[in-house]
Amino acid sequence: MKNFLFLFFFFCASLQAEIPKTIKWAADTESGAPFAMVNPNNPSELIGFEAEIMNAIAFELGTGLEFVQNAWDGLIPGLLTNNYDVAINGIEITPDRQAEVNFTRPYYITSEQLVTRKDQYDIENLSDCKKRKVGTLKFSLAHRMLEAEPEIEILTYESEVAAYSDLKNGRSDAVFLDAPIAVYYAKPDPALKLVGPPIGQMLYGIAIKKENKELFEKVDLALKKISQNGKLREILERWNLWNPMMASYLVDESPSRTPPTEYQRFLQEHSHAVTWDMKLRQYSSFIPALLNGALMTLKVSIIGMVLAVALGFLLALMKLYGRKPVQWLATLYIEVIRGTPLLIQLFFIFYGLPHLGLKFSPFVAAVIGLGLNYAAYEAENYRAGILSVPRAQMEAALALGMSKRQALRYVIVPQAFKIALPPMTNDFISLLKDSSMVSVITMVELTKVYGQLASTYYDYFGTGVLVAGIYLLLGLPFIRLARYYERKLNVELKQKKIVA
Amino acid sequence: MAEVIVRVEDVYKSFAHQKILDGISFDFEVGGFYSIIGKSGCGKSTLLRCLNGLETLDEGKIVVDGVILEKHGDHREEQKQLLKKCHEVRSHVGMVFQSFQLFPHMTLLENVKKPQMIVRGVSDEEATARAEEFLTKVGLKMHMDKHPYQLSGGQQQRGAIARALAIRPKVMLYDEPTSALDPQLIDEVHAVMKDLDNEGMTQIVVTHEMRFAKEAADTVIFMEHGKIVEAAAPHEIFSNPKEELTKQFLRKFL
Repeated sequence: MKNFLFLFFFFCASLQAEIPKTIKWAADTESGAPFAMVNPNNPSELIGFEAEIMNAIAFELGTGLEFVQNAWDGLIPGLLTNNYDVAINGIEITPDRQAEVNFTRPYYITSEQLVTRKDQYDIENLSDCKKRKVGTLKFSLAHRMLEAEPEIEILTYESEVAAYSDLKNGRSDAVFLDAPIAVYYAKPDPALKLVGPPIGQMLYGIAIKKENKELFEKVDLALKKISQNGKLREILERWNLWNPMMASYLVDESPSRTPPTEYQRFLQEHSHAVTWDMKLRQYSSFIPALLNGALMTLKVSIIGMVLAVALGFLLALMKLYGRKPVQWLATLYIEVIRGTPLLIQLFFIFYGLPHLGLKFSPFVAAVIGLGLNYAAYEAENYRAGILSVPRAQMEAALALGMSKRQALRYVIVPQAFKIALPPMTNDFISLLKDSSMVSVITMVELTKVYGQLASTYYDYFGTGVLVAGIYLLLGLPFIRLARYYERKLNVELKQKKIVA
Repeated sequence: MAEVIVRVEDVYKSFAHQKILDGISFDFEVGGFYSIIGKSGCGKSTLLRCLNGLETLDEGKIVVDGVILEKHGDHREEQKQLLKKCHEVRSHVGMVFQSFQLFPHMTLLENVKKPQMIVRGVSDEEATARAEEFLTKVGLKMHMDKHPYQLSGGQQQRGAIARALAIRPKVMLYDEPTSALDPQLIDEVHAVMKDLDNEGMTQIVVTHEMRFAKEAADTVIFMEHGKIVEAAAPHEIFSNPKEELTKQFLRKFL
């Protein structure tokens, strides 16, 4: 076994020594502008200054690029489990992150920016925020800086759009986030204003796994190259991100050469007076992406349910007919699974198990996560079903000379299954909805598509209604099915009663 | 003297420290029609269930057509042995329950033919033919495609008898077969049992139907407190009981 492990590691190490033909890079497109996001006019294309930097680096290295969608707070764990080679998404270089992964030289330097409502005049800097609510992004550097300040009530968000809309809605008093975010999401908004001087200094670096030295050096070198030949500056200027900190870092104080075309395009797209016609056209352009997401949701749910049904059945039999240790094992499984959140289970399977050498693709991990989780609930359904078959049915089968196994298979289980069908169908509908959680392990299903579209278009309401409608449509056939079975069962029960 | 097919030897059985069978011995002969009567809780149903291994024995033994059922330890091997023997006994013994226990998810025909296929490995055609034969015998052929819930209680019980007969038992056990039936449906079940008696089937019936016990049985067994008090031909038991307990019991019933 030891030898095998050694060979295995050796094999992995030798794989990593070479530069892959295609670099897999990860970001969270839900982070939105200006980092990496879906092109509103062409949802299959990625735009953003980080996407452009990756393109420039790949160009320098002569390699291809493959994008991997990953939730922002899972970007570094995903690197460690080899789901992709590099992560770039406004990840600030901090000592504790450096303990886990290597960072290239910074590709961008920026600061934090405080934003308030236009009609708010008493907040100018962080010290004015005492005893007030300040929004920021979960796990960001800004978050940690806020924590260092005394007496600030911190609200954390998954997306900057949500943070700023809560500010506008009066749920918070200020938002403290990286300057580029403020420039893109707060500055164009007539209800918000940027206040106070830039605070602190953050360096964004490209994160690469420590063991991946060769790739790290190559990427760092490529980054150095595009810093020196003006490509990096050009990209940053087009996105309106060039700032004095970058100028001094790259020792390039010359006047601006490139107009901020991308920024203007972004502003234009978001300042349009919205007509119904445009909205409709926009929504109809969502359809392909939403259908893909719905298909993935359905696929994950159905395969997950098949797994849940099979495993749940086994667990029910173990619990009812197994020997004592087997019964305990089944009970333990059911209690542990039902007593812990699905979210934690998904994280554990996707990010935790690779440490034990068990690595799954996001799809497989999602199916396993949902399947294992729902198996616990299905097991209880079947157990209840089996227990509700009169004991005398078992005796009748035994008296006819069947073995216990035959009696179960031909007499008890078919009846139990019929009883368990309505709750099973209901569980499937819950599973369909719970499948939205697999977006945390980089699966792009319906809910993830919702997040992407809503953050890109700044439209949580309309897109939300659309997505809710799709979930309803997906669940509808199964709701019907459940009702049909329930009615059928009731009729049979009633007839039985009349006879008895 | 006819051949003994079921021999009960000094059988004891308790549930939760309560003696249910308290030293029972009896020989059942081939072709006999036995009625076991007695108050509720006298142990008559338990005795019947012991005969095909649905209950285990605390002491004593039961020999069914040469197969011996007796007390077995908890050890895995012993349990396995016991299961094997029970299985063997059940292939000679058919049982009919008070509440019929037809399988509700199967049609009547399937109820009769599936067990043959599952237990005996009989082919579908053969099992179907045999099932139809026995359903005809109990007068239910025209109902064979119905599900149990579509049948009356009497029909269900006759179906259950056909199902038990189809595995070709040498002995038929009935546990209060007509207690769950309306009076007008009781006779049709009794008629089937009388037919079987005429064909020479060995039958043991636990019943509360004194009239039926009187007119149909060869031997009536009266039990009380887990013991056989008296066993004799019906005319003797009913007109000239020897034991005081029997007299008391019959006074209440007749």
